[in-house]
Amino acid sequence: MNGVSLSVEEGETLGLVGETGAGKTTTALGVLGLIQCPPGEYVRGEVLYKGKDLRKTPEREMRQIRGAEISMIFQDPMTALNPVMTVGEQIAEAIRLHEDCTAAEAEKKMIAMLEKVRIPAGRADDYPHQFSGGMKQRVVIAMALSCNPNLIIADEPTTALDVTIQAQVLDMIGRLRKESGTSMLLITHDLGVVAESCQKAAIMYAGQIVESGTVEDIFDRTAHPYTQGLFNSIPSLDKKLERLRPIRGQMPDPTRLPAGCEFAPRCPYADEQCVKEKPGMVELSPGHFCRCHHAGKGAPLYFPDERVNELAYDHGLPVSNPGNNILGKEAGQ
Amino acid sequence: MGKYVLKRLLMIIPVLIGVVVIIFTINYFSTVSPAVILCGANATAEDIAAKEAELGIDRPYFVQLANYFWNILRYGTLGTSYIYKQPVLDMIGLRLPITIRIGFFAALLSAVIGIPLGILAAVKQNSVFDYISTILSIVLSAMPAFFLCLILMLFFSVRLKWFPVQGVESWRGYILPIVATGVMPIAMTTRMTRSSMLEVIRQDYVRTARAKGVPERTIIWKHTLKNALIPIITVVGMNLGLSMTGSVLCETIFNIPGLGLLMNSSISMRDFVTTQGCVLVCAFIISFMNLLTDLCYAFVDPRIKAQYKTAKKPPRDGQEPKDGKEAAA
Repeated sequence: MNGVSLSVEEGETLGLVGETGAGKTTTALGVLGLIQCPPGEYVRGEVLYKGKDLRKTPEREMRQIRGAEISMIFQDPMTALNPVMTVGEQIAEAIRLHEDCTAAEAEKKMIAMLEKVRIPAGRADDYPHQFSGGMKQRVVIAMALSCNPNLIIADEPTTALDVTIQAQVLDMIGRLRKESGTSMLLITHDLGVVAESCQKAAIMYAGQIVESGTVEDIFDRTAHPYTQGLFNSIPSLDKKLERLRPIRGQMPDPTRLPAGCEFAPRCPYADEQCVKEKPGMVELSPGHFCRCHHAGKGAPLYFPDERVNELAYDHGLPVSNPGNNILGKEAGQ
Repeated sequence: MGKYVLKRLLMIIPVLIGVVVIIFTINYFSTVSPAVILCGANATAEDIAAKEAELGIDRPYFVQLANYFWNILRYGTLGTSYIYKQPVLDMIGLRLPITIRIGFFAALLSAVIGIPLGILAAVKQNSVFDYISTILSIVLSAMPAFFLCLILMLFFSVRLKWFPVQGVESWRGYILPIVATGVMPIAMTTRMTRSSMLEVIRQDYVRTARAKGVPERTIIWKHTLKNALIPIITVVGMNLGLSMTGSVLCETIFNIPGLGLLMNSSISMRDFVTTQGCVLVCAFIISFMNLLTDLCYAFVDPRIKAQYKTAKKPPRDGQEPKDGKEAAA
């Protein structure tokens, strides 16, 4: 992990997007101080929460923050729940730990939380193996929200779920988040999810943030070739494409990163400078950052698929930016 | 659950029948007849034949085998020892309590010492403590039992004179045999606990517990240990069964009148009916301990418990959630 800088304001949702292995989960665990050390190691940097550096917070205090102020929804609900404890116990445990209440009060609150995620109270005494995947994830959500945290870190909350359940779970997270005004860091590799539920987004590649800004910045004014590549890999409903254009190649081995820009080996625009020199973060417009030598210089880097642009031209449309497909906007608006 | 236990108890019967048939067959084809040993060196062929007829071992294989089972079912006896002329069941009844006492405490020792050691080694993985306990447990589990018995006896009985060299007249006599029988199980339990704990501690749900802010101590005892218990129970249950059926070596060295010693002497004296009785009792103890172990699994893991249940319990309030549309609404 290197050069990761994220900020989530109160009540805001930030989407953290990237390929598998880009370091999204590691970033999230790093915030909570949950990286196994060794082999993990915190070299430098700070995690500021309400002005306090969590890296310097003693473990005892961190425990009070975890679950109570910052809580996490995990990627795989199948393995995130303890198989030998009832779901009720697992939710009540978080409440008992962080709230000054009796067992009976915690129980009551646990039931209320279960009902909030639409699981009947009678199932509180059941064990995780008696639940379906979607229900397990709702239990995990109930657990994460049980102490009204200020920040939720949702680590690909829908990746392990059936497509039909994904939307429900996301809706549920969004609804509960809005009800309590909680901020959220939503980790995903699904740009559609970002468009739907985030105000800000950050794109991660090989342990770095390569582009960050508001959702409009990212989708309408896509600046980084990697972000464009991500958009090109998504099928569109209203554009006819013979085949998608995935980003060629693989993410570099994090222990042997290239000398220049990390993305250069896969980048269609890479030139000599890119191979030799690491690009810095450039602020293209207030709040819109991009880590690319080409960013903001001259013509914006548009959709590289000539054919699609030709099609757009034929129809009298301005050359489009692919991000618009996902936002559901008319091209060029 | 009751049905399951009954089923498992009934399943012990074919196991015992199998054990009896195997042991009986081995004994039947043994090259030295018990009568030869009983009659001594100067016996004539007629003496031996007469003795064989007296013991009933001149009859055909199936007659003898059927007779053995008939005695068990009809009279509840395991026959009469060729040498001591006593009912085998009485002889075992006299010796078994001593063996069980030693075996139980040895297994208890292995659990009480082995599990905490294993937990500590797992929590402090790659520390000096971890290395020492790993090396010690490998060395101890590789050490032959008779060697350990002799070392213990030499040091604690002969040199320090803390414990008697042989016999179990007082509680002091039990100490060394218990330790000697317990060392290997301790080492096995320690290693199994360590590896099982390490496996569970890396699970996602332990991370979930950490993310909830659960203190480390609770994570170890509540979240990790209970999940790590299945392999530990297996080892402890196995040790319990094995050590309660008596260690032949240990009982021979310390001259303890237990099941192991009886079995050993009956084999060397060709007192086959006694051997058979001992093996049958051992087989029963081990089968029973296996059953107890399996029942303990259900106690620890609700998923296994669910398998044991014959009928599913209906949901408490009768309203199963409709997973799909209701939640999305």
